[in-house]
This record gives sequence, structure tokens and C-alpha cells, in this order.
Amino acid sequence: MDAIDPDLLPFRALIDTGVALRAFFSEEPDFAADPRTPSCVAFVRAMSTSGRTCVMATITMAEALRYDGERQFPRYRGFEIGAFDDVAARAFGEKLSDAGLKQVQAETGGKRRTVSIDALIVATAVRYRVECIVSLDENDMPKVAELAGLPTRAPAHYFGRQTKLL
Amino acid sequence: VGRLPKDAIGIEIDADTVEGHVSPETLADPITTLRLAVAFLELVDAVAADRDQDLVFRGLQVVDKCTAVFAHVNLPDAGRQCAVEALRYLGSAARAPRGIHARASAVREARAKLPRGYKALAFVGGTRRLLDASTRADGYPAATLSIRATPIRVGGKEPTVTLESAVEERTFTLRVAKDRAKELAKHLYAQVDIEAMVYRADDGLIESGHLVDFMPLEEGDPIEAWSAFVRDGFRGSTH
Repeated sequence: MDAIDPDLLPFRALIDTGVALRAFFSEEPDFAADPRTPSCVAFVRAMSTSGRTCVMATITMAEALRYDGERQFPRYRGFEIGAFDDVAARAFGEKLSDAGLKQVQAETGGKRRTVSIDALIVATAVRYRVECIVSLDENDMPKVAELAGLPTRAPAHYFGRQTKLL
Repeated sequence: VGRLPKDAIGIEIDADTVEGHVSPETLADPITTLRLAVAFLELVDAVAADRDQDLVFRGLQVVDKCTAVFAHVNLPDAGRQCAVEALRYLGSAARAPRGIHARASAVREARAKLPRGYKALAFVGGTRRLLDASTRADGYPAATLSIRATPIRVGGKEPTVTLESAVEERTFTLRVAKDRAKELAKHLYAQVDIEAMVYRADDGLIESGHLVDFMPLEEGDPIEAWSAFVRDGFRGSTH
């Protein structure tokens, strides 16, 4: 398998729910069967070992807390929780207009709820000053993020091209 | 006064209406204006002393176009934070710490004596803010802050912590309880997760606030810890 090229990695990236869950729970049967899971694992591990920062939105974390809300988040260098606070709300208001989100819905056929959640994650990404969003979503998320001027990349984007040795 | 230098701390006297005109030549009460300028600089100086900041004022300028009186400071960022804190004391009904309280009263007294139709502005780190000496019991709306930050200074008679964070434009200073200040001092220059209540200015910068709590980071493999966290959450779903 190709390896992640550390030179391509962003200094700060928000990892979307799909990437986070696959990276941290790759043995879960559905994730284990997903051919994209190894790229999620490799990307997050490379970010960590390269001293970069992964931000995870609180909305993403809600997914992992649904069944056991009492636990404390792990607090480690390189992994930050991005809360939707007043600054994120301001970013939402400034960059993610209702008209823009409706346009995304019209273009992608995405559900209103899905686009709204993506918008909350994108506003969190803006607030936490990341360079990009790393997501497996090729549909709504890239277009919502584009409204806020943020690029969206798949984890596989960071695989470097290996030169075969003779 | 056009663009203000970032290291300028002082006051500007202007007319309350667009018809009015104030200049150093026509200023109605220069003595009160100078008293207000001195009182404000002394207040900022007292705030700096309370924070153990080595703030030094140098030079004095009286500038035409309205009437501006200001000095320069050696530490522009610290000066700005002290001046912002000074304005908070002026606008707050809460009693300021000893030393600062008397200086704030002097500013209020001088401000109240300005001739009718005059307004006073404060120079704070390159911007002007209304120097409103009437106390406000309610204050600005506060917001919660939950971010990763690095404490770069802890101290003062009324303890404060100065923090920097990748997600805030500038360093910012928060009040902190003495027992937490002692604990926080053990984590100087190390990242911690903080929870705080903060007040932001119109430009989005944190003006002031207080630290509610902080959590040091853990040592070890973050991927392992996060994997266990996520895995346990999913296991819970089967119960």
C-alpha cells in the first residue's frame, strides 16, 4: 500500500465523523469491510506522528457518546475537540447563508438535515482555524465547505507517489 | 488623528455632535482634559502593576484633529490588554482591586467634569473605544470558551492567566481563582484544555473573562486512547 507523504499533510485539519470512526475503530465489521478504512487509519496516524493537529467537532463526538455520555474525552496533544461556540455561530452566519445551503441541497439532492449538520461541522472547522476538512463524503460536505472557502480532501489524497526501486 | 500607532495609550476628546469641533486651540477645558489623560494612564499603569507587567510609558503627544493626548508603551500587546482591562473596570459596578479602584475613581471624576457636549475616547492598541465612565452593572454578554491553549503567564495580586491559542487571534488574559492559579502555574508553556467565560470586543478579540477550569493533557499514545474511547461507545450500543 502507498504511504502517507508527511510533506503533504496539513498542520491543522478537521476530520469528519466517517474518517474519525474508521480511524479509531477499524476492526468494527462494517468499517473493516470498507476499502477506504485503511486510508483513514493511515492519515490519522500520520497526522499524529508528524506532530500535526486533528480537530473533531463536538457533533462528531456525539456519535461516540450516544450510548455512554458519562465518559470524559481523551485529552492528548494533536487531537482537539472543536465546540460550536459563539465564534462558530458567527462564522456560520457570515459564510453559510440559507440561500447557499439550499443551493447545495438542490445540486446534490442531499437531505436538509444532512446539509445542516455538515454546515455546523464546517462552521466549527472555520472557528478552529483548520486548513481543510478531511472527509469521505464526496457529495454534500465538499460543497458546503466550499461556501466557507475551505477545501475538502479524502484521506487518500495524502498518499505520496512511491518511486519503485530498480 | 488618523491611523493610531499600536503602542499608543491615551485619550481623545471630541465633540458630541457632528457640528461641534474640538482642537487643541479651541479645547474648552484643557486642565480637565490633561487630568483625564493622566488619570487614564495611571489607571492603565495600576492594572499593569496588578498583573506584574513591566509596562513603561514613554513620550507624550498632543495631536490636532479633535484633541488627542497619548503616550507610547514598550509592550504594545500587554499595554492593550491592560488598557482593555482598565476600561472594564471603568464600566463595571464591581469593586476593583485596591490601587486600581482609586485610579478608576479619578478617571470617572475627570470624565464627569468634561464640558457638556464633549465625549472622551480611549486609545487601546491602535483602536479607539468610548471612554464611558458610567458604571454598568450587567456588563457585556458573556460566552463560554472551550479550547486548547498554552498558559504563558500566571500571577498578580488578583491572579490572572495569560494564554495563547492557535484558535484565537491574540494572547488573552483571564482572571483565575488563586488555588487554580497555583495549579496552572505548574503547566506554564504546556498545552491544556480550558473552559472559560469570556467577553469579546466588537472585533471578536477576547477582552476579559475568567477561567472556569482547566484540564492538563495526558501522556501516552493518543490513537490508542481515542480508539478505546470510540470502541467503548459502540460496545455500549449492544447493551
